[in-house]
Amino acid sequence: MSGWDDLPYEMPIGTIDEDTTDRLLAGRIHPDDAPPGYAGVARILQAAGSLPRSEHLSREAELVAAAREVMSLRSPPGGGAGGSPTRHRRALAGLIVTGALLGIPGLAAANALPDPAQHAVSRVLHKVGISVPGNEDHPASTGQEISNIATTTSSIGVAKGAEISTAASGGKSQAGQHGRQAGQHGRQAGQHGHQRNGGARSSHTPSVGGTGRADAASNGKSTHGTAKADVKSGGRSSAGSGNAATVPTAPIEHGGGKPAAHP
Amino acid sequence: MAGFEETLVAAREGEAEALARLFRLIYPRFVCYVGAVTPTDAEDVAADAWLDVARGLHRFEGDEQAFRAWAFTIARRRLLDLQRSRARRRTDPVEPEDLVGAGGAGDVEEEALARLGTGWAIRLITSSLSSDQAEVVILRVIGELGVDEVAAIMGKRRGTVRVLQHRALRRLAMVLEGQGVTR
Repeated sequence: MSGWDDLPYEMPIGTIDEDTTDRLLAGRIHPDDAPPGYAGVARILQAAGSLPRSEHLSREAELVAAAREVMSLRSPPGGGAGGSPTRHRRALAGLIVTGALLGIPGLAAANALPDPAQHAVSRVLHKVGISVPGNEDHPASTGQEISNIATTTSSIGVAKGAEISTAASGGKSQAGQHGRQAGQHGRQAGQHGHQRNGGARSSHTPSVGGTGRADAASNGKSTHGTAKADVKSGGRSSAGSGNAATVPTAPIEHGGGKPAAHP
Repeated sequence: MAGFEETLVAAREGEAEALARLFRLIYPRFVCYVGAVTPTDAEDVAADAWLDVARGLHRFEGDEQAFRAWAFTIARRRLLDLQRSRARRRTDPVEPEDLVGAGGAGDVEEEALARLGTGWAIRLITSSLSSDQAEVVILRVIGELGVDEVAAIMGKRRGTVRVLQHRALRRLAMVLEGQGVTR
């Protein structure tokens, strides 16, 4: 028989309350003061909480420098208060989109856009039921129409060019009004070309408008009539003449000017 | 010595000394915390987490306690990223008997505990407890965080964290008792 003190010494593990748990975890309970069975726990937790700081600080200089670098990439110092660059970019993009959505129709309504843009915007807005200037049909609605004029008209030379140009531009073209002069220039150019360099220089002779240019520009050789006039006129009679040029047309007799030899 | 708020403001401006103070405040804790789960990657993950903290410094508002909680949230996210990428949990458990192996005839407890550095203590915690229990204990001890902060970081309820930490300490006590570390 043995006495109670012969029993193996074993501290029972009791139950601890929340406050004791918190204090143990915070390292505020000395092992000697720990509840029964928790002295070792108190020591372990104290050991875990006493960070061996120096051994982890060998990379301090390197990682602080790296931190400064990533911070400088993010934004200039002091720039944090205004929000992130991403937020700024989004705001700017939103502003641009809003401006475009409001500004373009506004400019279109004021008929202040360049002609192609005005026409494009007008067509788009017309589809959604908004009418802005420039929505009327394009004068030269089809190349076929212009081509028909070019191939069936009985007019020749300046008159033919004027007819086509007028149809293509919806009556806006002044082609033909100055065509006489141009034709005359063309003739002169053709003559000069014939006399000098086979007309090579005549293609550079400025012409003041209309289909007279066709002759002047082509040294009187143009077989595409207003197509050439278009090219050499810098696109003033673009739609009609261009469309005409894309469809094979009957050769147009040049209105004057002796054909120059092609270089 | 500047207070935490002054340090934070200066660190946001990129002042090296202020950043170094924040670094000393959290980086060693990061290494211990991450090292409890994946010892071999502790330094790298801690460094990544530190740089994330630096990147997000302009967003942070709060006192030192809140800063630690915020920083540990970032570190934990980094740790989870690593774990997901590896799709397995790496631990480096140490057998509890290693803790008392050099005891001999003297006072086993004192000798064992004398050798018991932070690393050993953390490894004992991670090898003795479930992963959730160990994380709660480490966040509370290493991060010096409260129950609410740990609950927020781990995405658990306050009551759950309380239960986890209570069971963790009891489990630790039983393990240490069984190994003779505690009489």
